[in-house]
Amino acid sequence: MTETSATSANSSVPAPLAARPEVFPPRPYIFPEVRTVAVGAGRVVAAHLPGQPIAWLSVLLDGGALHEPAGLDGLAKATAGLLDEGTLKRSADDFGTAVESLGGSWSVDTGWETARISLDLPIREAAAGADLLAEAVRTPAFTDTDVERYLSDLVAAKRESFARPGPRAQLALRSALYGADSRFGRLTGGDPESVAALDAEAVRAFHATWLRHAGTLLIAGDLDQLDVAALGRTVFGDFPASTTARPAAPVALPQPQRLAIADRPGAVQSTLRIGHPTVTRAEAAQHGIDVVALRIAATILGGTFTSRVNHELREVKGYTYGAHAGFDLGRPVGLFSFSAEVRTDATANAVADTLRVIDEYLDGGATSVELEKTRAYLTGATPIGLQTAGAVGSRLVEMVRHGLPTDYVTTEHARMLEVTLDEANAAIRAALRPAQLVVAVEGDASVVGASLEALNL
Amino acid sequence: MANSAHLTTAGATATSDGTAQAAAGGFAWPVEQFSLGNGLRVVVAPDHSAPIVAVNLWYNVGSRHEPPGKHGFAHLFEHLMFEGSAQVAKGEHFGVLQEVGGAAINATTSSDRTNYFQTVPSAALATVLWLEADRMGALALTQETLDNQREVVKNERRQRYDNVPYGRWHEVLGELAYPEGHPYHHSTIGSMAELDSAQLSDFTAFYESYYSPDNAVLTVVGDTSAEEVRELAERYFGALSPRPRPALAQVEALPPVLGKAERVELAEPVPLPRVFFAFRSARFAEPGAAAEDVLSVVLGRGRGSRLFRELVTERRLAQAEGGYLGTWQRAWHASMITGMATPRDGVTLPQLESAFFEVCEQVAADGVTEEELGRARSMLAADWSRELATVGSRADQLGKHATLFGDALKITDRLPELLEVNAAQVQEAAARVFAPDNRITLAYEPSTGRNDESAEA
Repeated sequence: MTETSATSANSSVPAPLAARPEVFPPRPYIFPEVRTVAVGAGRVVAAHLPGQPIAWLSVLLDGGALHEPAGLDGLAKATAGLLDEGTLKRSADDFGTAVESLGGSWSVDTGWETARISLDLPIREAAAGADLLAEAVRTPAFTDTDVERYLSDLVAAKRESFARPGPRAQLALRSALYGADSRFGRLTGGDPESVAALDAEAVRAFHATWLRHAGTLLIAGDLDQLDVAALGRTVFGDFPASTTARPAAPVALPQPQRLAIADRPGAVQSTLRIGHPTVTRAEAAQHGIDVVALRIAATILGGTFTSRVNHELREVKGYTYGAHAGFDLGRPVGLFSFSAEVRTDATANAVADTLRVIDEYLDGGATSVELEKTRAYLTGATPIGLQTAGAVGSRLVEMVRHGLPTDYVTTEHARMLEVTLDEANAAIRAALRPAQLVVAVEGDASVVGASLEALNL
Repeated sequence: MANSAHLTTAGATATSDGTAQAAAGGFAWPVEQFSLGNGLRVVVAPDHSAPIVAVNLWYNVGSRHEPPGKHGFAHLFEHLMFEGSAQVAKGEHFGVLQEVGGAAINATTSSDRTNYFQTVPSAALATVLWLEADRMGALALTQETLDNQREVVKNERRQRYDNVPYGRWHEVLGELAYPEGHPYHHSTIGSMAELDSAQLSDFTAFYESYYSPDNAVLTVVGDTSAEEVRELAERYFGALSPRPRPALAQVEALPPVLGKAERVELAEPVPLPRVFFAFRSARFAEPGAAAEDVLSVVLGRGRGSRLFRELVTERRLAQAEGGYLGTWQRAWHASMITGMATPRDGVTLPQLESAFFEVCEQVAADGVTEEELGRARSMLAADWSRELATVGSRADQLGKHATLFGDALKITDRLPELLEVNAAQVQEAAARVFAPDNRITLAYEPSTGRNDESAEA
């Protein structure tokens, strides 16, 4: 057995361990080449991933929750979810079989403003996959039988989901921030009651109004093996351009109540959601907020295992299995939120500790050690998080949704190497306002209610 | 005790024809393998397509090694591995990795094994190997850390098992499917009482017994070379000593079928009635196991699967949400196939259960079609492509094969084995798995009040 210490300076290293190696500075990163092609009234945005065996195709269309008629929360999501439940050419079962026989994985993602239908599949099947995407988007059958079956299952699935911790806490936060009368004060996918009001006629009308127009086809894959323009023509064909005005951004309540409790009798944990509205990605600059500096500062607060909130609530106090905080600079407005599930008897203490940790962070700022560690982490993690076609695709979604340049990942990565401590602290002080934080708790009100009220938020 | 779950070609060394063998089996990267003098097995699969590298350690220890009264300790120990070692202070472990740009950092414990993994910029490979060697060689175990992580794990148990509807289903099925005292009888998370009783000495003993270089496989995948890994592995792990492991009690092989048709009903505050099924099945990679994988895809995975088409679309007995059938692929003793279905309104659980078995038995009686086989093969091949797409999961698969078979290149058997399964083999597997004396049914009926009735009662 030999002592293998690399340097004499580390003579305190116990045998037989070796001394810690030196750390290398973060490296630059270059995002894959992005090609944009106009196709009729729509366009294709494609990232080139040479040698990647899987291709990711995603159709992005206007037609999200904010486009729904009043009283039909969840219609946008249900309509997008029904696109592959039978077409003019194929039954629902046969369509599913066709997708899976290509090795394809179909998914639907509906937001406040857009609906997105994605297919991830072996690249040699990409053209056949685009045919299926086009068939579903352009010619869904929406038969009474299929829609009735799908919607009745959806109601049951919503009941099941609302019985799990999470959705009701999220709903409590949103309605405290925006008011239950605002569409934005409820959940994008609706709730068990609202989806029970949906029917086939509403689905057909929503599709006809919102989804029968050209949008953006996003592609991530080996473009040498794909005819990008042809894929775009397949999906959009002669669809007209979308003429809809963007829905107005919702306005938050000026004086929200600071505490909202969703009762869950018998719960052994409380689900915490603490947050307030914030800017969108595009608006950040107008408000003097550097999104890259904010990302670093938010990561220090709540984005990693060693973050301030996780360290305090999990590693010091043992209240939770994990705590997170961060900014979703989405659209049409952004949201800062903290989330954790904490054991019931620690609920009020966990809320108080969270608010204290946030205050201390804003007052004292990040340390330079935290900044360098987080800079290294975020820059190092960029290529690690972009190994799959779908992961690269999610950056394309962000690019299109916020109107960012095709090299934004590359430039933001470079910017991350330069952010100073003052910039990081200034960004989070501009974006996070502790006095406006609303605390939503889903838990056993008879046990946690009084101690939460006693916090006098 | 044999050092492998299966017949082993122990002491496999660097293979010059690794590349050719690997490409033949749907694994396109070269693989080199060697062992250090202390018994640490090392697997390297270079891939220079991105400047990142994954480091994965499979320790051949899981909850199957836990003695009575100490269930959950393998997993709690896994938590302690992140709490500091000779040269790493408490709370610093993740920080060391973040400082070098590491991501995808975690560990998991199953009945079979414990794996630790991270992906980092390739310039930081030495730092990761140093960090892993430091905790393999000299872990810091303190009462303070144990007390804190005990609380964290109890919160994990609440979050995953106790605070969610149906949360204990797999724990209950495991207890029903394996006899008392069998290594797979108890859940990996353990009970609150056992976690409360854990003493520091339990973990020092566990560490001494199982966390030695000769009980681990180190796999490195990505932007590196066998030469570099060999040199670094020698530098950081070379001086650690092998240690003896306690002999495991002999486990009598279970019969190929359960030998019973058992039905257990639980009344709990769940939102919907729901039924879970368990069937005894073959060990991972044993004869018949691949046919069972194909069988469960044909019957129970995806929109085009037979159970979905029959029970959801055709007969309207089951809800779309969440229904499935899947193999557990346990490697050391007989495995399980489990499934789930939720009745639609107006359908009773017994009605749904008999329809479920009827569809399963039909495969045993009449076999499957070529179209169904084709769908399953496409899905499994695409899965495999996705599984190997990131350096992290590629490393985990190599470590798994090296641990179980003494040869990482056995990875090349996986896909061909699945693609070669024919209709007759699927039918044979169905006859074995769905035999009337090989089924456990766990039926949940919603109760109105609070009810903690357990399966053992």
